[in-house]
Amino acid sequence: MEFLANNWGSLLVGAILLVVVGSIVLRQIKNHKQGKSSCGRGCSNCPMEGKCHK
Amino acid sequence: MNTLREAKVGQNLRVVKIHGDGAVKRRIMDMGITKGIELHVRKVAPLGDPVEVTVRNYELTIRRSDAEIIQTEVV
Amino acid sequence: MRIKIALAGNPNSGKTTLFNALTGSNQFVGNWPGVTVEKKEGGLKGHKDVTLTDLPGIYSLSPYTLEEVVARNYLLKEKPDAILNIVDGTNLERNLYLTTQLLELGIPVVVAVNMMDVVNKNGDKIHVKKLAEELGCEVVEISALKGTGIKEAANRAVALAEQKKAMKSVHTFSSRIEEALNAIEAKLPDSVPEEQRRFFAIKLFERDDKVKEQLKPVPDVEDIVTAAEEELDDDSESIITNERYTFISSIITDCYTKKSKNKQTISDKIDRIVTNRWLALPIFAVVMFVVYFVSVTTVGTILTDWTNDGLFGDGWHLLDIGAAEYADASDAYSLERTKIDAYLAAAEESGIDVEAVTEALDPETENPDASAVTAFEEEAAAAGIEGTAEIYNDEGEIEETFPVSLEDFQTAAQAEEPDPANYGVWVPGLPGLIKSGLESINCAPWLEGLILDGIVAGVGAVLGFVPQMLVLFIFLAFLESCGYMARIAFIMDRIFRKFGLSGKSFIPMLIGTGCGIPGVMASRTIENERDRRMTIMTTTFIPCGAKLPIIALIAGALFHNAWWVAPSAYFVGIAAIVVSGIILKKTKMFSGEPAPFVMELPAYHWPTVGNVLRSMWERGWSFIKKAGTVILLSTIFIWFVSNFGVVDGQFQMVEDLSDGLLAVIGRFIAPIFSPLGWGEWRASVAAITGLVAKENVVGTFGILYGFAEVAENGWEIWGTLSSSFTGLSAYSFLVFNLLCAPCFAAMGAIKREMNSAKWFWFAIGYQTIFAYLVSMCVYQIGMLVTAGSFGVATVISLIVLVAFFYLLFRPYKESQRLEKEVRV
Repeated sequence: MEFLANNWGSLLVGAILLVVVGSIVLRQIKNHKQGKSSCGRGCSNCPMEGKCHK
Repeated sequence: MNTLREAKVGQNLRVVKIHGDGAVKRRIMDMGITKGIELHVRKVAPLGDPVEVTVRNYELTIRRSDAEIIQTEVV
Repeated sequence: MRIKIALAGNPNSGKTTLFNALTGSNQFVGNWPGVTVEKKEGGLKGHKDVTLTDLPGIYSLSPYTLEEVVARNYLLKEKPDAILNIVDGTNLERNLYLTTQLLELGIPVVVAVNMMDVVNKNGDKIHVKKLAEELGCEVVEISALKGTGIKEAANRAVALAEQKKAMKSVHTFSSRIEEALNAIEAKLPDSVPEEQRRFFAIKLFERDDKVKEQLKPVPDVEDIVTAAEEELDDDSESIITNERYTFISSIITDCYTKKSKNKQTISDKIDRIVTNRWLALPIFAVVMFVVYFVSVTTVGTILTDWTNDGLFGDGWHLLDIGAAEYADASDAYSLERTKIDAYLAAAEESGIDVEAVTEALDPETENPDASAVTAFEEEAAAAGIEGTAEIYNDEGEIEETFPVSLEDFQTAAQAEEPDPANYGVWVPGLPGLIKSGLESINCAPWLEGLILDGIVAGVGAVLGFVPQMLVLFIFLAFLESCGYMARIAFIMDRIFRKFGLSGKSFIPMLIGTGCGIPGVMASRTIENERDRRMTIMTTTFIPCGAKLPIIALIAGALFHNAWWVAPSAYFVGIAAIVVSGIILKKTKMFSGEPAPFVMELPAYHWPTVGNVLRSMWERGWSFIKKAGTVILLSTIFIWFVSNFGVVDGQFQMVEDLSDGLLAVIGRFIAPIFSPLGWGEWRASVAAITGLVAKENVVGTFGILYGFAEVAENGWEIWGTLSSSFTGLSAYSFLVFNLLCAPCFAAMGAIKREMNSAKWFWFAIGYQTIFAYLVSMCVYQIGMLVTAGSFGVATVISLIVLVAFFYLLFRPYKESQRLEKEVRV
């Protein structure tokens, strides 16, 4: 109990960090599975326009 | 013998004959450059290579080495 | 009952757009077996059981290129139920040339005349009914881009396919040729189906050697052919080609009305200068120079300084409110400090111990010892110390000197460092805010370190360059949309040709200035296999957006923004492409098939502001997103690995980064890079992390060189960095990172496009070794020239240089016929 009281700040920050990192990792994996573009752009302005990925 | 290689911007030419044989000649003809057809020279790039011509209502870019085998006469 | 429909047409006729529109996401993309030609198949939307196969873009069914052979083998062997022939309406005659050949195959054909929107805009007219009559098949008008007419075209094709009626071509050639063809047809073996007999007859007449593989036994028609050739004084292939075009010419006046013949448009006038024989290349060089100079070295730097000093530094005055006053106060304070230093120096020279008082007067000291100051002042008074202050100007020369008495010293010692927050509107920088935030909730120091020295340092360093990237992207977007970049392809063709690529290979490189991945993928538009492979391999030499922070960092921190550094990076990339092209072309694996060059130059047009901004924003945003994901994760990882190590036999967090695990690994790798001038663990590690994402090089530096500990004045941001590199080693480092293998994502794209593990590894290996050798030569020969140093590495570099020149200038011959075996 004392540990929690003394370190709640770190635990909070740490928890936030884990959530952020976790969501990034999960989102990357999901993108990868869907075969989404790794260039990270939308297609409308790219000279490739729709030609590179499904 | 005048060929497309010597062409100047703005000229109107007629193709007299296409020399050589094989893939390059075939390719040039596939693009529509055949005996008797008219060409209009639109652009000549730096160092004379490539050349842009209007042929059969579209613009085609031809390299100097290919242009050499196209014999032309001024219209 | 599966219906197969083949989509055939010229390259750039809009086939792919049509295919995508008709199949949506039901696509499967792969390669035709054994070749690098892409095979696309998909289910036709709105129909059950109809497969659409997208054949490679071809100009004819001749046997000379891989694409053509693949396409016609498919059509002959797989016998699709119908062909949807896409024809570019703005280029009717040439497109119909292929159509006449497709019509001879005996498969039902629907001609879809595409780009009708452009045709209508130009005011031209196509008489579709007449065309259908003359060709003997159905003709539909479509605009694949706008989506008009495509459903109808597909439905017509399906309808024809279901009818299963063979097609008989109606167009005929001149009587003399028909005579010869009939004679040949008679000689064909009975195994050839009725509807294909004409096709084979024509091919035999043309002496098509690929067709011989499919006809066993091969009838001997040589006499017939030679007779015709002699009569018409031309070779058989040319005869047929002429016949086709004669036919097309004969029908074109009935079917097509062109509005006007505009000989010289405004675009043409501009082009007379821009693509001018002599001016074009210098103009291009100047344009790219200006682009890079302005984005990185001037405008960009101003913005980036703000991001580095302000946003990620101490802070800044909002809209500069109070900035002037603070500057004045700061200058006054600096003057006082100078006096103090001068006085203390004089005192020390006379033998007085100044250690205690120096620490007491140090603004960083938490609890200054006032008694030390008093004690010192007494001593100094007794000794009658007088100091002399020297004021330096920007060039490091002494501008002014004046005496400092004890009274001056005492006054100066009282001076307090001005707090910028007291002047005007002060916005503290992020690190400061975060730090106080974390401290106020009593966050554990290691966690605080992770966040501040790891994440903020790493990601912050990278994000600091966003302004420069945005400026660069605006420029590139502008050049792209106004049409200038297409001209470059035209101009560069001659140069590119010299080393085996065509101007068409320039487009991927152009796209690569934003991101290498779509650049690599853009190589798909290059039909020629050899050219395509070579383009894929060299596209990533052009500095991409992610490499920009590296360029900007080196230019800024290590070359003090010398005007030539950033543009030189771009030209190094181009030079690498050119040199690689020449060297590779002369090797056996790249010499090969002939390639045509067809390019259409779009007219110049004033790009819309919206488009340019949108394009810039898209690229910028994707960069920021990447910073928040890949780079964020990387910095966390790097922070852990660099801050933890084995100290005194225990695995724990380290005080000095050089004791960390990363440093240990780094020192192990570093010797590899010492011939390049930067065999130090931090630089080596940074280069390796660049493989994940090029931005990581900067991010890693941010962590390892303490970016978060921002010093007072602007230039010292990367002060520790500049002490680890000399000008030469910095440039060598820059070159290495510019040229070596790209990030993982780009490598993935290369692997996919090469579609062969062997080629993929060859590409990566080539790039890395090339980068290594070039940077080594840069450094070693630079050292030789500037410092006269000479060693083993110098010798090796000289040998490498000689070898380069040899490979560059040795003679070479290009082959004429298609050597490859194609099975479908």
